[in-house]
Amino acid sequence: MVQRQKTLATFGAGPFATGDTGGGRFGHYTFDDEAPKLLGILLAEFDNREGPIIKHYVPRGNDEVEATFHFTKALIIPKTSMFRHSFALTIKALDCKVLMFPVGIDHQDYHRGRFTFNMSFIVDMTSSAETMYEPIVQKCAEYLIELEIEYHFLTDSKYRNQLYEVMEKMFIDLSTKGESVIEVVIDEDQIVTLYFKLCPSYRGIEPPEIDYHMVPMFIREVELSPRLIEKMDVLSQKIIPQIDGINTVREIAIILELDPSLVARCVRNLHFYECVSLVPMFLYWNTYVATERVHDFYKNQMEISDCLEFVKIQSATGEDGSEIPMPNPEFSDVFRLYLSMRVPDEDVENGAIPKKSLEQWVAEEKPRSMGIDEHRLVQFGMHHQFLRKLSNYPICTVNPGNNSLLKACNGKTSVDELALTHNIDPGVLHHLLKKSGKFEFVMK
Amino acid sequence: MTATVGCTSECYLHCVMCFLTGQTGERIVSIHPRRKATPRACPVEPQVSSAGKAPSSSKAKLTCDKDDPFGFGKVETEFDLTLFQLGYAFKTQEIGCNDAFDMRINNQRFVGWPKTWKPLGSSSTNYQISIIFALKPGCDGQTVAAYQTLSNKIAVSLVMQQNYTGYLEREDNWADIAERDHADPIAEFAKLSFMVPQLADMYTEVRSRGNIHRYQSNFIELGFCDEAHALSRLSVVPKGRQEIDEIVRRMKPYHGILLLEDVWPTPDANPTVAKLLSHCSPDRSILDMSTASGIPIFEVFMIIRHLIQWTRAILIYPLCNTNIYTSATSPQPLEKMAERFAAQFGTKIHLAAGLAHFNPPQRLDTFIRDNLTLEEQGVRAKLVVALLRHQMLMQLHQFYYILKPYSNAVLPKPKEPCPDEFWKLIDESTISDDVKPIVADISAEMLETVAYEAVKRKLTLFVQAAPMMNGNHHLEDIKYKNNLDRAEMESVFTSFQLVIAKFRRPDFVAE
Repeated sequence: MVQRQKTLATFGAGPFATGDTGGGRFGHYTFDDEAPKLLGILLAEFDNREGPIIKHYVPRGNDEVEATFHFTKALIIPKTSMFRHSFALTIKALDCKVLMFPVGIDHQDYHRGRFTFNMSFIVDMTSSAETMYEPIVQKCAEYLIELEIEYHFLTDSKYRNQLYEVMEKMFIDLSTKGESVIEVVIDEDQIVTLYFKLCPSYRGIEPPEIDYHMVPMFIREVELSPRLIEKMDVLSQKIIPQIDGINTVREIAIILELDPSLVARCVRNLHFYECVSLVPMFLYWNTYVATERVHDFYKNQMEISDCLEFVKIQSATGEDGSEIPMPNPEFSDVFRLYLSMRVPDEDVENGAIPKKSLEQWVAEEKPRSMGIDEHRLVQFGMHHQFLRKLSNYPICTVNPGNNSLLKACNGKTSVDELALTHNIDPGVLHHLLKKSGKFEFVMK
Repeated sequence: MTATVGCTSECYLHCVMCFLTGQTGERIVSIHPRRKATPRACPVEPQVSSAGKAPSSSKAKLTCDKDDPFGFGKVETEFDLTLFQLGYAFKTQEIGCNDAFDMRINNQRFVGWPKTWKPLGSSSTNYQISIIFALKPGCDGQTVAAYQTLSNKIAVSLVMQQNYTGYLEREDNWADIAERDHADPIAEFAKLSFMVPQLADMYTEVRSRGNIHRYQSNFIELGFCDEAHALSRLSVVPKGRQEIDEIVRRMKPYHGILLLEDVWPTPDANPTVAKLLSHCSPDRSILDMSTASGIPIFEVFMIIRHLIQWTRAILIYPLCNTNIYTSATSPQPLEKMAERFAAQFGTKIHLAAGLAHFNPPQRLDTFIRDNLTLEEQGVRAKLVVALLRHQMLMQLHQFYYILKPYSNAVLPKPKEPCPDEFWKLIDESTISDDVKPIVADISAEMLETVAYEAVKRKLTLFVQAAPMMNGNHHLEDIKYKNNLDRAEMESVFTSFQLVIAKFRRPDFVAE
């Protein structure tokens, strides 16, 4: 894996790659990347004769869960003043982290008037994302408090087996799917449903605003069956079928005769839940360049086969309407094409910006002769950040004063974005800015 | 060169505490800085619906007892807990002592390294000392490890002093005195203790500089570096200990260094450090520095490793006219930087002009041109160094892949077949099977215009370099590892360009 910069400097792949200046992570989250492995769940309670004991633990027969309990006994069932505080302790000797939320319930029916319990989660120590489990530990404690106060679910022996099954299902579901929906049957007639879902740590951060000129692209395989569409809200029912990786937010709004802000809101929601990623609008006028992530692609066999499948020309018809058979793309061609997307070295001496538009690139490289659809090639590259769009950023070299345009030329706003804001042709704007002599232009 | 451009650097250190167990029991005897305690949140009772089967007439409620601590334990903290509660949570079983401690309470992270100590003359009783650091949310594992190491170092030095002079016993007695008759035992203990002012000083040093170099009680040397914080304070991409160690491991004689701050060797430092620093400049490689100073290269490596690990320098490729640079793509706080650059370099050249020049990528000699005045050349060289230091400029390197030609490429059609000797060379190489026949054809076609021995030499070099042509090694590396001349290597790559794909990117080990 190519080592990349963390914060200040990046070359290529980064927030700019997708135009996602609000934070590059949105749309690129996968469950497997982050969630630490769940090693076990244990339910401990205070026994009036024996002190803190394990009531149940999953997976059954795992000695490490018991060892963890003995290590952290004093925190799992702590002093009463420590109840309802969230604790997470790393145990290096056992290579795990224990997440705890001790609870006590006072009632005269309990022996000594109090029932103390703690449902603790044990996760692998290697991941630092154990915080993902913290809300679940607390939520689980809140559910159990409710169930105990209402139905004596933890103390009544008739629920003993069911309690164990609940823990087992939760352990299996959270380990494999990252979410769990459990139905607890009370007195054979009532059903209480418990919902758990692991959330990535960046949840809770405001998702970036959606630019109307960005193209939403599905990053999860979604089969839009009528049953699934029926479940959606009215707006999503209309918008989601229009997301094809080609139409921009504004174009979708025009097709559906909706306000673009409504479409943007729906897309933002989908973006937040990692259903879609956003890529800049595909234009033959744009210049795309390969980023260092293309090296990761070279080594990733799964991504290569996905790419070869995605970038091939779907169907080509001749003048007589008959289908023309297209060659299957080869990896060497695709990879060479990605590498060939770069800023040309020549022409630099002339002072002209050596920008090669996609149109010129297509004319030179002829990807279609190799069975490769350049539009799909670019979209695949943009989504996986092998490619980024090259933009020209003006930097004002004089004191901007109160002039909003000069202030906007701070190296963070591209000529294209400025042209959109001021409703002017990007070429004309670039020419005007250059003519004024107050700007330097950085291409990145 | 001194630091010129600062950026907002974040230090994860929030506060430092001292947890001490002694004859009176376990307690936190110091917390620095003391911030205003947050009003303690009262747990909200869950609503029990009237339809629920409440087992009896009285309502069940959640336990909400309070302790009745005394002395240090009474002190409320900003963490919604008293020092008594924190002390209870930090109390580590003996099995967990002498190992890293990491605990999160209500989303607040506490790290340390508890150590055991014994009173002088006693062989059985084991007490504990732990310097606990409260870290801000969001810190990564490397930062946590760095503070655990610091906690360990401080604890080791305290235990050592205890073994010599009964230091911790004395501190424990003073804690008893402070606790006994005073309303504010923390403040009272701070007045009496030798340890508390030292902890406060260390806190200030870490927060302001990211590193510590001091002598505990004037005789135990204590050094520590929060690498990420120290680097970000100097506007350099923050790197943790692990990444720095990886850089050090991959350091080669062709690399150079860029000093981040004025480095003044301490009086007891090895005299070769001062000698090496006087020969240190951005256009010299490690090998050059060794040759110029007469210091053996192994020793140069050791010193440079030390400088990098203490965040006094970063690894670069020596400045050279043929180097290709580009400006980094991430947005930088340009306005402030431009002002500071103008203050340092004058108004002759704007920071943006430097950045604009290198985007698209350019060779260094197109910026520092020979036809400029020497003064101007000097200013431009300094500007490049400053841009490199703040990683606003990045050097690009050429990486190579051996790949099949384009499917529509015109392939060589030699008149004569490839000689057996060449085929043997190709067959034994690591080149993939689909490329081997093309390499043979290229060699055979080359024989039509070039002498046999010359072609054989080129093919041998190509085969030799083939294992490194997988996108992981740049030209410098290939050249260095095969002990070859750059021009010769480039000529080989040109001859076999049909099966080579090139890509220019930064080498992130050095950047």
